[in-house]
Amino acid sequence: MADTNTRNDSIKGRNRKYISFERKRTIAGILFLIPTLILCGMFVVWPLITVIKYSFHSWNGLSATMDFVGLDNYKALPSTEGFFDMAKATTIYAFGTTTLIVIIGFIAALALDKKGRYRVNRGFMRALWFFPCLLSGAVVGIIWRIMYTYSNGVINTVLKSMDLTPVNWLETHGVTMIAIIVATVWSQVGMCIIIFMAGLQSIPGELYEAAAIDGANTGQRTRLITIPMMAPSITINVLTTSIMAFKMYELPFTISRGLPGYSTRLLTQRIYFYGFTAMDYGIGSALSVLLIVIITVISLIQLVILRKREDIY
Amino acid sequence: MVKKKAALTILSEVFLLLATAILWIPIYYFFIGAFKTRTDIVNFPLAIKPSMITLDNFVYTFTKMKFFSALKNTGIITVVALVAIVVFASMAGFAIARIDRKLFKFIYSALITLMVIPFIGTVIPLVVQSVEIKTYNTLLGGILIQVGWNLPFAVFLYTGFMRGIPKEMEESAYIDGCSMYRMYAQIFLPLLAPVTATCLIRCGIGIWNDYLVSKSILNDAVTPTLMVTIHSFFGERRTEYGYAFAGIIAASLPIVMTFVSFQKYFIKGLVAGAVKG
Amino acid sequence: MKRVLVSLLALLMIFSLVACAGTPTTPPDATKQPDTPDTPGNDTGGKEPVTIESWIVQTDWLDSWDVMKQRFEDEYSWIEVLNVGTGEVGIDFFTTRLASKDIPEIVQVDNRPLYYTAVDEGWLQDLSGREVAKHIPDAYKEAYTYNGVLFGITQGAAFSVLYLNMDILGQAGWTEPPTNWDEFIQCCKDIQEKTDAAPFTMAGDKTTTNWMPFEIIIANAVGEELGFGVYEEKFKNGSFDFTAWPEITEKLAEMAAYAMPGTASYTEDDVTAIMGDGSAAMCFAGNWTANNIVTAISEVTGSTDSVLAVVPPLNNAGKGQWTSVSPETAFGLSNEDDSEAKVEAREIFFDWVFEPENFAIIQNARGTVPVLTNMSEDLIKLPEPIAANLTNFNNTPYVLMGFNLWTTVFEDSANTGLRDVYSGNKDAATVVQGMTATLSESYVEAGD
Repeated sequence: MADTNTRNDSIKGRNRKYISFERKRTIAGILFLIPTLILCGMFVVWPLITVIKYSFHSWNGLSATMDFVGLDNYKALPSTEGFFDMAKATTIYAFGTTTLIVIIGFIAALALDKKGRYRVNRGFMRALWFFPCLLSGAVVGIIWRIMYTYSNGVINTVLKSMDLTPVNWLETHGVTMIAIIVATVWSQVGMCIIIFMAGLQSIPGELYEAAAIDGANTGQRTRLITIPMMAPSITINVLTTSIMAFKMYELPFTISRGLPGYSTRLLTQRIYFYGFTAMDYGIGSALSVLLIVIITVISLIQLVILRKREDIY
Repeated sequence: MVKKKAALTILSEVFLLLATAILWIPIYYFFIGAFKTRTDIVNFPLAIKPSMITLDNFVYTFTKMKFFSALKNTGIITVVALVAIVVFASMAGFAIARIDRKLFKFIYSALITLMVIPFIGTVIPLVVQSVEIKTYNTLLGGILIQVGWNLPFAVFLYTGFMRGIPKEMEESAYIDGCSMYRMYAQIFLPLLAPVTATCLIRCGIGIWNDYLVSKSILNDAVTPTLMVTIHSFFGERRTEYGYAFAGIIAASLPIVMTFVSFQKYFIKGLVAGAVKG
Repeated sequence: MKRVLVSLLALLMIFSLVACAGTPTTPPDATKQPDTPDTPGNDTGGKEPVTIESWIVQTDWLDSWDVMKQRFEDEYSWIEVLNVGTGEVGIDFFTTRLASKDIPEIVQVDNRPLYYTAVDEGWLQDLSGREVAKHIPDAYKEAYTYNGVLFGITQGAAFSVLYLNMDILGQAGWTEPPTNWDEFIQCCKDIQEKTDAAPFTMAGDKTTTNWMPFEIIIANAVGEELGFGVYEEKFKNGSFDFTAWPEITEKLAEMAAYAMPGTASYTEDDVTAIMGDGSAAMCFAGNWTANNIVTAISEVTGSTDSVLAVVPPLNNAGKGQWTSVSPETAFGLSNEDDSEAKVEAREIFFDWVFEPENFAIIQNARGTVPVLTNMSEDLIKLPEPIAANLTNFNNTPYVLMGFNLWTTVFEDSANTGLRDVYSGNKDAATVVQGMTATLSESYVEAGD
């Protein structure tokens, strides 16, 4: 009897000790989390809640009073000037940049990954391709705006010197959209390449060797090994690039100012217009909420796809 | 066969080099443009001759653009914010990765969700808020916002990385009676170098190049930052392409220099982060 | 790896340290700490160094700002004036600063709803008691009075101008400038056919100049019929119907065909450069850029003789000519609760700016006509082509320029449409119809 008692006691004691150890760990963990929680809470979550609150009010940003208007701001959205053009432009821009960046990035990563004789130093090449990523959106916008200028921009000067008709890059519907997409792809493709290269390097070389022994040619190897093995990297790139495209503000705005018409006026530019130019915080905030919802939905869809793959998280 | 393969390789290399050259045309264009007068930029956009070279653009830019005070502000914001991000995110990542509790998992998912929030959507309340807490137009205000907005991604990086560190390590440390704090400082921190590099690079580029935060929170006369200064400088002198180019070079030089000198580690760090992220 | 990290960090720190050491520490921004109690010494003449922000510089006289600042700081050594907001979209700049509850001490104001809100909320001072108000004609004071508050002192009278490069017109067979609509269109046609230059351009990026030819078309179409001031009244209550005068749409469509490609995205700087390149023959612009444009054209033609500035000839042959004018952007004074030293400094600076010999710096850099009654003739240096035609500019009946009339939403929408017409993307009829609709809608919204 005595024997068992002591044993029970010791188990209880150990449990108690374990529990207090776990509790200490949890408390320590919470302490570790506090700075992050405070900072994110104050500067991300709180403004987020506020913006949702504003979206149900009519406010000019100055007066002390703020009128509650319920869903009026949201109901007014479709009738705001150029709303559907804006939706179209944002979709085309996001879709266009994402597709181009991922495709070009993938091809470039494949090319940059190969090493061997007759090839230029890879580290150097990677650096060259990554370089535009170092420049800020505002700066890239200025450079491309100057290059696209009709009368004396470099692109038209080159076209004229080759006896081609100059293109009115900044004033032709459709063309201007292409112009801002090209500039965005130029500035963002480097990051995508890096992620792809990381993915490529994690593919075991034996797979290719085995395939080569089985007589698969380069095309087959790319199709049957590289692309399936790269699926997680592709998803990540599509996710990050599309979020980037929806968030992009200063680069397209510096180049085209949203012109011609409403054809390149993106959602972010509308938010800025209503918030800072027209001082209609209600509409501006409702548009912000719309943007947040769009991005969240896209990310959720893609996260679900990612989770299914399981090999990432 | 071998010859054919070599020929193919060279051909693909030529294509790659060609593509790279096209990619670099804009950089080449603005780089040489910074050393030319407007007439030469317009008439001979892609050519440079010794007779064209002038440093006037740089002289003008440095005297007219508040370059040094902007550099100082951007430098301070970047360095302080990065230090804070690394310290806080590694702590948070450590807690999330090592404590197996529902609460922590929930916090983690919440933080991940914050990664996708677009900054521009919350500019308006942030301005109002920073006026209320008296950080409007102070470097501290800029730093706090940068830290807050970069933390979710940094925590994500650190958590992913720490989950990859084998559990046995800490178990043996616990048996030795090691506390959570000591374990973080002595065992984990030294292991974190690769992910810290990724974090510094990714967040560093973003903070250095930031335009929106500085434009809305910092007053461009008293606390100018590089990107806002260069942008309004371009607005003032829109047709003087040379000035804009010189300004761009000056504003990007520090980050480009860092990139060039640490190029190898830079990309390695990015790749390390990419595998996990 | 670790070493690299450490050196990376070290490098970043060195950067910022060098930057800190490399520049004298910026003056402690007294601007931004309203709660800092002011040091004594104010009473003894206010020699405590103080920094104020001034948002009056426009890109068209940026070069002269340095001269002005130097002159002021020589006189008042303890006041430093920072130039802010140049090169940004003005209205965006001001709204951000309003949202931050900290506006520059001296600001630019216009007759726009935003500034009325600022007056209502008590951000701008009533200037009627200031010395300068005595030297401003009543009409200009009225223009900047809202709810009984004189919230801005105008820089002068702005009017629309058509600048012509007579060398290019000469190549097209025109030795005299066109004097009415038919001649103007014929002239455009000749230039397009006979020369390499584009017929005309303007700064489409800036709403004021983008709207300018259109409002002059309207003025000539409706001015005689409606009489003075009626169009503005109808515009402001949202009942003006652009489609009621088919002439407006027709003329817009006709002239848009001759606009230089790129017009819709040009800034005033671009236009100056284009006139200086000789790639356009004529340009619509305000008199506020007279000096820059005249200098640019005369550089390419070799003399000011070949530059002409006329009232835009968009009138029908045989009918009276109308144009558009406006009191120019005015300067207002912040009413913000600031330290005593700062309040004193901002008032000193404001009064100083409007002293004739100081104000002449701005006037002469831009080539505008001042309205200050105490300004002596010898201080004013008008560009030759403007001076030659000054009587015409002063005597032509006018409508008010668009920015005095429109709401932000209308401004954005109408100018977006016009840009589309000038760049050939949309036909004039659709755009003009859209304007009528937007105008009545924005009135409903503003009325709410």
